[in-house]
Amino acid sequence: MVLVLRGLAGLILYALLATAPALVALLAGPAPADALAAASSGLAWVGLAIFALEFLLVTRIHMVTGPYGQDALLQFHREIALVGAACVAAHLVLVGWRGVPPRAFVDPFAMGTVAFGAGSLALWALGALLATSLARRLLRLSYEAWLLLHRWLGLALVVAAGLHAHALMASPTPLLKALVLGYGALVLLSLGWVRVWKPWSQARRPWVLVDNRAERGRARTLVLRPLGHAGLAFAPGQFCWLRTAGPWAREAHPVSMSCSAERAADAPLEFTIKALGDWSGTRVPGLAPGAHLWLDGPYGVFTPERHEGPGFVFIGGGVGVTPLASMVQTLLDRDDARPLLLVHAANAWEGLCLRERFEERARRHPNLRWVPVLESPPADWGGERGYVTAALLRRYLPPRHTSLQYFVCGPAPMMDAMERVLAELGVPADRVHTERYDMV
Amino acid sequence: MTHRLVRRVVLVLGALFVALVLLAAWLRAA
Repeated sequence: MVLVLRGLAGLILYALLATAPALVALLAGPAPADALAAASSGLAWVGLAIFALEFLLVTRIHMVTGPYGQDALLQFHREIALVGAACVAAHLVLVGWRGVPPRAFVDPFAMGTVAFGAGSLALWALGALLATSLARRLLRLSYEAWLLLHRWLGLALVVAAGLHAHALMASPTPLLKALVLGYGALVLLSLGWVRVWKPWSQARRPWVLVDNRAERGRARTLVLRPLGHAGLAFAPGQFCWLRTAGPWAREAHPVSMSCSAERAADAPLEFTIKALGDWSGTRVPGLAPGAHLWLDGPYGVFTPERHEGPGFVFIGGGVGVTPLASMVQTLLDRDDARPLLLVHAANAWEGLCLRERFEERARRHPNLRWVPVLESPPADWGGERGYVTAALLRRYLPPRHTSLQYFVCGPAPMMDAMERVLAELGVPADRVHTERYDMV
Repeated sequence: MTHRLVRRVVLVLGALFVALVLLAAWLRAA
């Protein structure tokens, strides 16, 4: 309940922060020429505030991420940016309507003023941000290259747009000036938190790799031990940001713990990672025992500890099964007698990640039902095949299945399908919990 | 939070921002 209230309070605060500069500029600033000019500048202010706040949304500060979870916040970061871009587009249409030539938008030197030059640069940065984020795979941009571009383009966008706004304010009120400075400080503090404070605190808490083993489905499990510190406790289903190239390395990768959370804080931690890109495909398999790694976490609200119910249904696809593995093992290690159903989808029997763990657990614990679903099963396969559908789930769900809690993790198309299928089965939306990991 | 819920929140917030700004612009110019 407290979390719901905190979540709502966060949303209201966000709405206030996103609209405050626009409202102050419009209501307390100098009178605009007409309603169109006022709407144009107001929309531009909303766009600028949204882009400045984007930095805060990705800081991983627990106070900010706590009520929502990192993946919901990242989705919000991505989609509210489209709202910001729409505001900027409307601003462009309105200033074009008022006589600004289109070449002033594309050529930073066309008008010979700082205001227009900065505005044009901000537009280029915004265009590049949208193109690289919406079409990263189409542009064949690696995640690592995209991340680097994203950070610099984001900073270029707010600096240029801030300059544009500053140069256009003929006589800003002290309140508006203070607001602009405040948002600038917010961006700097967010960057300082992520780029300086976080790496510095992680550098003092290294982890050492004790095992790196191959798993089914082109995945590997890294086993880490804390080195000279107390380790960490986590809730099943949570994840950490992993750095392998040093605490100050630019790239960090979000990876779920795949071991039981029912353990001492200084016991080994396990992460299961599928070979999907440059880092997971080449760097991770090459890590030798003794290597040092750095963790930022744990994060995430995708955990049964936040959503109690009379039983749990876990639906996992591919390597998406790893957070679910942690949940299932933790509940069983706690001698939880509630019914657990794990629907585990994969391409082939040989590719069922962590298969042996589930087979062994299902043998020992009668309250766990493990249902592998194979897209391309072997000829003699007598189990479930194809995709996870409503009809398939109906075969395994108990009669009062709408009161259970559902945890879904897998590739994006599967997640979309599961949200539809569970709604079709009458499961209320607040009992369906999802974690998405392939957002760009 | 599910994907759809986040999308709804974004749509509601976006509509709210635009409505607020247009209202303020209209008030200011009136």
